[in-house]
Amino acid sequence: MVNTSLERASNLAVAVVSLLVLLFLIVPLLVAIPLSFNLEPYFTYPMPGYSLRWYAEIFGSSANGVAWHAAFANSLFIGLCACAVATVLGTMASFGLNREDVPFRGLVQGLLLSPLVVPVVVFATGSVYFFARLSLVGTYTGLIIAHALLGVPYVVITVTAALSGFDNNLYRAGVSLGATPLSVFRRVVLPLIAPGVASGAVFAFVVSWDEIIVTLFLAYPEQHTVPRRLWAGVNEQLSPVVIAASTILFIITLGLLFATEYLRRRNERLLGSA
Amino acid sequence: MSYKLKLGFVAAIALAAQALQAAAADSITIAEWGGASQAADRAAFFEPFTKETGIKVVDDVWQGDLSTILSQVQTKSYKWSLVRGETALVKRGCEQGILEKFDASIVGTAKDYLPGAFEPCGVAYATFSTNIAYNADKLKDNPPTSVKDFFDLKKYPGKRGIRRDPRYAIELALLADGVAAKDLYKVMRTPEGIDRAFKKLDTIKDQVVWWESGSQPPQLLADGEVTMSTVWGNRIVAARKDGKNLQILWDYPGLDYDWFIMPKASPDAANGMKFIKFISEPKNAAKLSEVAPFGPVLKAAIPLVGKEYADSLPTSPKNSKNAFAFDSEFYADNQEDLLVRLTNWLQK
Amino acid sequence: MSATSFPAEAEQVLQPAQLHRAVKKSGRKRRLVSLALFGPLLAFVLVFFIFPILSFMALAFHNDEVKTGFPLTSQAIQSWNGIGTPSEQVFEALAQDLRESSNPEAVTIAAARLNFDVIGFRSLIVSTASGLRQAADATSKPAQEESVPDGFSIFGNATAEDSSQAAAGLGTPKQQLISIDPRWEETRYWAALKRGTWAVTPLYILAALDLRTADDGSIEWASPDRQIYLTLIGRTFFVSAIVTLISIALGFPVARFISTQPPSRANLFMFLVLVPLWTSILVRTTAWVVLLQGEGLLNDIIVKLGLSATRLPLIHNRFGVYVAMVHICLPFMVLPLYSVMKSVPSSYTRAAASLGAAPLRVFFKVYLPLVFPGVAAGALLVFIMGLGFYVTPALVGGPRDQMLSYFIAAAISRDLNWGLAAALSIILVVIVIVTLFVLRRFSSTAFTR
Repeated sequence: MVNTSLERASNLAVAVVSLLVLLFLIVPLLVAIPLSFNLEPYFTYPMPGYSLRWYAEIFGSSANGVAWHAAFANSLFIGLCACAVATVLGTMASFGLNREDVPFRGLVQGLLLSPLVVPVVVFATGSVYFFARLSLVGTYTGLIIAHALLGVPYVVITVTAALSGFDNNLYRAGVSLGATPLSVFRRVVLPLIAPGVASGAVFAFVVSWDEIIVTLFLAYPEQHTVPRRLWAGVNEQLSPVVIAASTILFIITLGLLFATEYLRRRNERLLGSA
Repeated sequence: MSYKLKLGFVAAIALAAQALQAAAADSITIAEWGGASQAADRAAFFEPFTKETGIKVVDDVWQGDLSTILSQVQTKSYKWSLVRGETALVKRGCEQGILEKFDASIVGTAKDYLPGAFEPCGVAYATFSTNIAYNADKLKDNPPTSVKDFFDLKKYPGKRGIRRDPRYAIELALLADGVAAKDLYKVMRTPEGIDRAFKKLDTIKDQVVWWESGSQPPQLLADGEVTMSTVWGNRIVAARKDGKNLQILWDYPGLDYDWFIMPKASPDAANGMKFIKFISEPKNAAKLSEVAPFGPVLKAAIPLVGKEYADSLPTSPKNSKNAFAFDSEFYADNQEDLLVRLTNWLQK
Repeated sequence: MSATSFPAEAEQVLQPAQLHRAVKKSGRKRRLVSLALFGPLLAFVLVFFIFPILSFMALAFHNDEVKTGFPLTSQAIQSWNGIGTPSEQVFEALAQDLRESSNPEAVTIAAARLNFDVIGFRSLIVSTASGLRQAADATSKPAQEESVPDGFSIFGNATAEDSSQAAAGLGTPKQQLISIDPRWEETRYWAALKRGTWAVTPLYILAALDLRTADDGSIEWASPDRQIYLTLIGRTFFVSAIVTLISIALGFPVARFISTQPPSRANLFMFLVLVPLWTSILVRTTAWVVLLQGEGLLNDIIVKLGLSATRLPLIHNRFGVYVAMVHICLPFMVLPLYSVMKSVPSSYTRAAASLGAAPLRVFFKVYLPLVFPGVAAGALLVFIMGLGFYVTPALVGGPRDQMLSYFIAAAISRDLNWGLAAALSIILVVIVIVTLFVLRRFSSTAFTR
């Protein structure tokens, strides 16, 4: 063909550009990590020596501000609770909305997904005002509610996607055989959509795990999470401790990503065999 | 979800919850601005106070956002027993009715304090200065001698650090433009005065690096990113202790007080008042000036500060020869508007 | 929501009457079950998300401070026609409100509210109140001059400011107030006071659009040296648009490239796209601060390679904001693009090419229309995200790069100005919703002629 050489050249160009862009996406995340092992509190290479002192500082007690290990405990606690709330409510709702003749389905779905669209600062400032009236500012409950709300759309999206591959006749068959809807849901539906629910749950956890803006407004020092602590670190003075903490955060996120990737593949296999 | 997974989940929550059980026996939480000034308070007040009373002091950092105090008072969920703030915050908070008023039996009366250092809702305890500072390694041949040099890009080429806030930026511009310190706020109360200040700032506009957190300027100076910067004087003294050769220019320093304020109806009031009483003892109050360059505010404490420290204080006769005090009344009216004007000017 | 209000769907089933009724009944029951399933989440979202936001936004129109702080004046001033100064009764009511207020905090809150409308109103009220108090308390002794040790006299200038020297001047309330502060003769203070008694106030929304209410009630521009918000809104739009365009330019080739790879390699590349997506925005922003700062890695490399003799300003400016924002937004562009591109069979473009179409023509006439939904979805996602950015510009931007979100946060945490924060939030949300509708309409009509 006439165009082959031209085509090959353009394909090569696309490949080169793509690899550069992929490097742009990944390298900044990795390049700072070694600095967290720097012996000296500087951010330049080559490093004079290696040490774990900054990690030790994270797990030891810090003189200034909220202790890092307390921040990690907070992140974990708030993230797990928010994830539980979002997953339970989100799964139920997705299942309910997936049934036939649901009134105002579009509107309801729009409302449930609205936390994805409304800028988080608006929710954060709005919740300060309203949560204060309910005495929820500076409480774990308040933060869990807010984080759960931000995670809800992700659960709804993933579970709805999982349900779209689910044959509603299975549910009807279960009910017609005399089982209660609840037990059909638990014994038939849930096992089949479990991977979707699980990846929704991981999403909800990650949303909370990474959240900063709402936390800035709603959390008191007692509830400070890792991102909140990082924010203070970047704002005040960048130290290798901040890099070390963000490295730990990064590695945990990476682990969760592997987990969802595993779940996604399992989901594909399950749906493929169903 | 499998049974094991569920169990693991519950166990993880329980573990995290347990890790959060902080032993908060007898303690107060004090929020300050972080950095060197907080370290000074810790050494001068927190530790001796704990030693004397057994009450632990937990410290936290805040950024002067009164809304956090407001929501603590509204929700009655208090996290801070005491907060360190500047004069404008004390007035603003008092007017909003979110601060506790202090009793004369503990803090004394206006007569015991320097002029302007007595407010119903706050206890002044330190005088701090806003200055110009420079890197003495880089400018050792011809160190700057006056605020005019801050605007002299020919003689002192390089960037200038200024806090992203009207405070001190406006004053500095007018003083360098020849306004006398005693007329400063008379001039600033007229629209022409503010225009004049911005016109002066225009001359260095594209050389300005704007800072927001007090720990930035010492870093900027040490890294050589700026030639001169507006700073909080005590941060420079702290940086010198860390071996950085930074110098303060004692020309027209701006003076203001640091205060302790207490969120209204705080349940820690009793212990908080014990702390206030502790720092209101002249001999304890004088201690701060020996730890860091903060001038005493209690008159009775002034003679108790050791001679070797007195000279380096922002309130020493040598350092304060042409100092001016920030006019908190002016800023209560104009702070928000000046910020809008500063933003507008920055956008042009 | 009552299930019975939707009989239409059930009636479509054309069956004998009995069956009809049974179907209808079971339909109702099914709907109830559905409602029981999604109801809890809907209630949760409505109560803790929608309602807080709406009630916060309502604060933009809230106008109670003056009415609470100056109850008598608020009533008396209704009869004033807005010309000159109000009648003697209004002055008297004001003097009474200031002198005998049972709620001094409400007065100071009202003063702060009025100060946002007319600068200086706060101190006018404070000085008038103290002047009235001194006049009432004739025995009050003037603050005595205390001797101050050497070097401490400088604090004199902050406290000497007391405009109540003529406080004791007697006469009508009007004369008395004007003798305390002549500003009470100016119409603008009274006009602002009357505006403060309106049921709702346009003050904040107007301020957030660089507008204000003139004393005659018309709407005028804020003075040119105080206009900031239109520029800010424009900048928020502009920065998001640039970030979206860069993301399309970078994301398109990447998605195209990955979609042509064999599955196992495509999975690996997609993983590289997903890793940053999942990484905390704060971690990513921190990484950029480390890379871009003056003493940072990128500058080290630039200087060592001799690309520039001096260290370049890469952070605290627009460049830094674009770099960090594109880094955060790019995965959201690649994902929808990739999923669409993967579904376009390569046989289409090959067929077009074999029919003799030039490569560029194939690209624009066949491939692009096919993948356009992906471009539109990605652009919409990135643009909407970009409008709400806060953390990244705050940490890597300079004063000229802050966006709407920054000012919303600052209005609350720094200035305690809920009204302004609410007004700016309304503007931001309206922009988001309008963008959503316009881009959706656009993306569904374009290419479907």
